[in-house]
Amino acid sequence: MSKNLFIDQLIKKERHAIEVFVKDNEKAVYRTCLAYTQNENDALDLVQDVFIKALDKLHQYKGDSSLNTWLIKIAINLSLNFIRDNKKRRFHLDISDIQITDNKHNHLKKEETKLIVRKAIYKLPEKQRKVFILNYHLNLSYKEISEITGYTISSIESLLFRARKKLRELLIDIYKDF
Amino acid sequence: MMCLTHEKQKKMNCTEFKIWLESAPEEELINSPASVIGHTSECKACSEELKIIQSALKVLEEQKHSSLEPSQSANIINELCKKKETGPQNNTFMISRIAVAAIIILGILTGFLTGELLKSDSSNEENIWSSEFPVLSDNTDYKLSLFD
Repeated sequence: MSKNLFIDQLIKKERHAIEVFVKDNEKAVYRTCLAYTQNENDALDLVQDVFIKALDKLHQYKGDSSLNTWLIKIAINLSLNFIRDNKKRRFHLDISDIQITDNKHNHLKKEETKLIVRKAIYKLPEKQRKVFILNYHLNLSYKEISEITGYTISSIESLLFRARKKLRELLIDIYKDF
Repeated sequence: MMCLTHEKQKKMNCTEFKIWLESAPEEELINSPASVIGHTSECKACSEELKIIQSALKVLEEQKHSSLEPSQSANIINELCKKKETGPQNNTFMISRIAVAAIIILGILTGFLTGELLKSDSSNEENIWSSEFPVLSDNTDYKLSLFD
């Protein structure tokens, strides 16, 4: 099936085309949303929003990048909006929900670790976070990351190095503050 | 018994450990080299730092391989197909439906009005005929018989 024909079918919202569209791209979209929100339910809601938005804006898709890349861009934007709108509320809920173990030397509970990871990911500077998620969670090449972000390959390398270093520092700092 | 070279390699101080922790690849953090294991077994603070990084990497690794359940995926597809009827993309579809309905209503109205007009014309015509030619408009039921 040609790309244009597929896009036309999607614009007409034909069920078969929608099924292919979702199944081909859901993993990348879900992992992007999950990496940003660090919460399965929020990620699931966002995945739906991403596909709805994509279908509504499909007439704006120019075809200069793959549909997958275009969807990842939408997923990043919606995830950032979500974080901006829900940051305070989510942290407040999560911290009160979790019973922190008295003895720090005990092995960390999974929920505690998830919260530490979430805080660390939220605290990463946006450029570093974006590059880290695209490389680590989505396993994208530097060229693909460059297509999505518009950054040069050398800046991606540098951002990725700094992101790894910063994330580890943040994880340790947040753990110590617990 | 370990030779001196290996003994030396295994020893690592806290500064070296921190440098390693900042820059080591993820795989190395999970499967730490002997020198790191040697240090963390002696230093509790460094051991804790490594543990939190390892736990965090496990969480991130799970996310990296996560995907939607088939039912969740089906729900999303169904929702997208439902939007077909209400989405802004279907404005033209809605407009065409309204236009078809309007044409049908106009057709019915035109048909009704034309019918009314024709009816009034034909009744006038009937009056003219009956006054001019009363025989033709005579409705009396005549019985014809061959034997009369």
